[in-house]
Amino acid sequence: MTSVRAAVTLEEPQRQSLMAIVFLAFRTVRQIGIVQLVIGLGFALSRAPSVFYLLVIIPLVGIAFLGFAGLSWWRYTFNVTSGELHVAKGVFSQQTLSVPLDRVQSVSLEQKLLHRPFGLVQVSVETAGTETAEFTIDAVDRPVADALQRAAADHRRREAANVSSTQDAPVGDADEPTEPPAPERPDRVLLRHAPGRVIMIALTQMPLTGFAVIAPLIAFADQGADLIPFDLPSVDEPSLGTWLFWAIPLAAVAILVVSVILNLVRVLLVDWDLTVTSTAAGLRRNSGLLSTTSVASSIPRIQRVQVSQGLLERMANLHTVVLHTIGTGNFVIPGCDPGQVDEIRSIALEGSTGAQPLDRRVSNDEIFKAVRNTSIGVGLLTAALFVPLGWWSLLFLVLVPITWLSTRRQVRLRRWGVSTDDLSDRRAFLGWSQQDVLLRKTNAVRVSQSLFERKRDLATVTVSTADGALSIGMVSIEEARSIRDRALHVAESDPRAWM
Amino acid sequence: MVEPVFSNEPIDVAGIPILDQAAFVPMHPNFLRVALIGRAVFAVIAVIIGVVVSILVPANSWIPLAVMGVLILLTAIGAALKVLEVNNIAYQVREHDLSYRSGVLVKTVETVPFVRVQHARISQGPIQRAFDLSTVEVNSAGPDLHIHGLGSADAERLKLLVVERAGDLDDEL
Repeated sequence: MTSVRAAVTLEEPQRQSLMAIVFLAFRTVRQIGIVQLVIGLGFALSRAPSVFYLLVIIPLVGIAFLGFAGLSWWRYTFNVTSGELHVAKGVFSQQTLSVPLDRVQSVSLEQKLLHRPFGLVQVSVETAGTETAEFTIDAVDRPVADALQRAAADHRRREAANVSSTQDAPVGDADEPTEPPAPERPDRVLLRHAPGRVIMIALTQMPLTGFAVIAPLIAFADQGADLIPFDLPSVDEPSLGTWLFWAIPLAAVAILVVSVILNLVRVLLVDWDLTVTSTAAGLRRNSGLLSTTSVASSIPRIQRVQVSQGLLERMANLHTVVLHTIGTGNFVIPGCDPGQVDEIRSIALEGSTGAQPLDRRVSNDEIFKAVRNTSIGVGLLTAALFVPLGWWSLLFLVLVPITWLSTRRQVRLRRWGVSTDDLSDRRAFLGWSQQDVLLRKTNAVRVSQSLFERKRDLATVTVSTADGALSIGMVSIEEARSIRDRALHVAESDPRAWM
Repeated sequence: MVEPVFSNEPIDVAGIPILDQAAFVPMHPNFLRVALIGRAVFAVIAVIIGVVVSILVPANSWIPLAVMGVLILLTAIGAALKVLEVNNIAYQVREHDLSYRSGVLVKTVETVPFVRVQHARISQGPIQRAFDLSTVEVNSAGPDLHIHGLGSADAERLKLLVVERAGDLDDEL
């Protein structure tokens, strides 16, 4: 590994692998539009004077695409110098992009099916300033990609280390580190899911994907019947009730089975060999069967930590951990056992255990508000539908006690807490979900009071981070203000990196 | 490697500075005037479009007139709420953060610490320009803060203060 690292020097302009030409050609096709190309091809076919003409034109068009892609490949170079990542590209006009490495939030590697035989990966570089990847390198050798990922991580570590030491240092070249980077500590695998665990992940997720597949089949059932080489049994009016009695449960079972199978396939493809590693730069997540994805993130980039356990997951004692990071690359880690949850959570919260104990509750007025709002809505709906539906419209009123029961359970199980460093909120119904926010990641705090809350001296406090917010409603106004003051105090005084 | 100085000793909760509700600064006196004129202009445009369309489409002239009526009603409600809200709208600058209070049905106080500010800018619409008012927009990596109804000189001072404090505090930390 050491010899490979030494061989890659990112200071020299690097080109992608030759295989990138294929990806660039695909990208050009996508940019032109597959529909437009099909229409163009259809037009050419309709006007072609002879088959020979087509045999010449189509390969020529293909060669033109590959030629353009080849030029794009030739003109696309990247290198890292003076703490900046430079990308030069463009066939007809040269574009140069320079991204300071301290702006780079993550360098993700993805190995698609076509990459695998050649040992290549796709690199996506994400910055804080854009929602999507700042740029993508389609196909590059793995050592080069690793070197790029490491360069960004090393730079961030050096920056973090120099934060305090450079304040008193004499003015010099800002890009020159005042200290060498800390020795790289070895990577540590936090979890690696065996195939059995991956299958359990699939089986403990709500199987809803089947609806997306079955629904169009049902919609086109009439047309589909023509394709079946035998006659379907006719359904006459008197036997319709019996037919529906059996057909509906059978359809539900079919949907369930299809959903479970589809979800199993999806999870096996996406989460196969899911591995989370603690590295010197932060956390790295690798997974995938046909196409492998590697996402790396520094710890400060994590803004919120969410741990949840659905109804089926509770039976298998598995949890899903979501680390909400700045930008698009959230870490979703399903199938964690309690020990793995504690370890990942502790790393993501930088040693904090979250607010303990979670002993605060929201006001019971939440139940009254939910029932009142539902009653008004259902009352209006019932009145509006009374003419077409008659007394059947009164069935909607059953939503009121359902709302009362469900909200009462949610309020009873809801817990939140605040400590010196953290704000935590736990919601439960059939499953549960807990969110933790380090208060020093606070970007803004809002205390709001609706008319309903104002009459009862209640309020909603929202602590916003650079990626989403944690909002707790129906708490006393004093508590809401206290959380705000504490969050501001921590954010304004804690010198540790927050992103 | 020198780690940033950080300690995690227990703190005196009573010592945490609290946001003083009485220290908010009200907006410029012309703020309500500008807000109402803006709504009046919108209502006039809605009336003109409604009348013109109803003349051009005589068969269904009631549709544009009805849409126009709804728009005017909503504008009138918005104006009434703005009149009620104006006494609640205020801002407060402390050493380390900026707060903005607003709302009438839902009253909110939003606060952005200076150390989280990415940049700040000033905007000014044509009606605001006529009354020498501006809006200061403070951008953080999270939600942004829009402070409407400041006098232009105050807005410029506030923007400079925010940017300077953001830089100074970032260096201090």
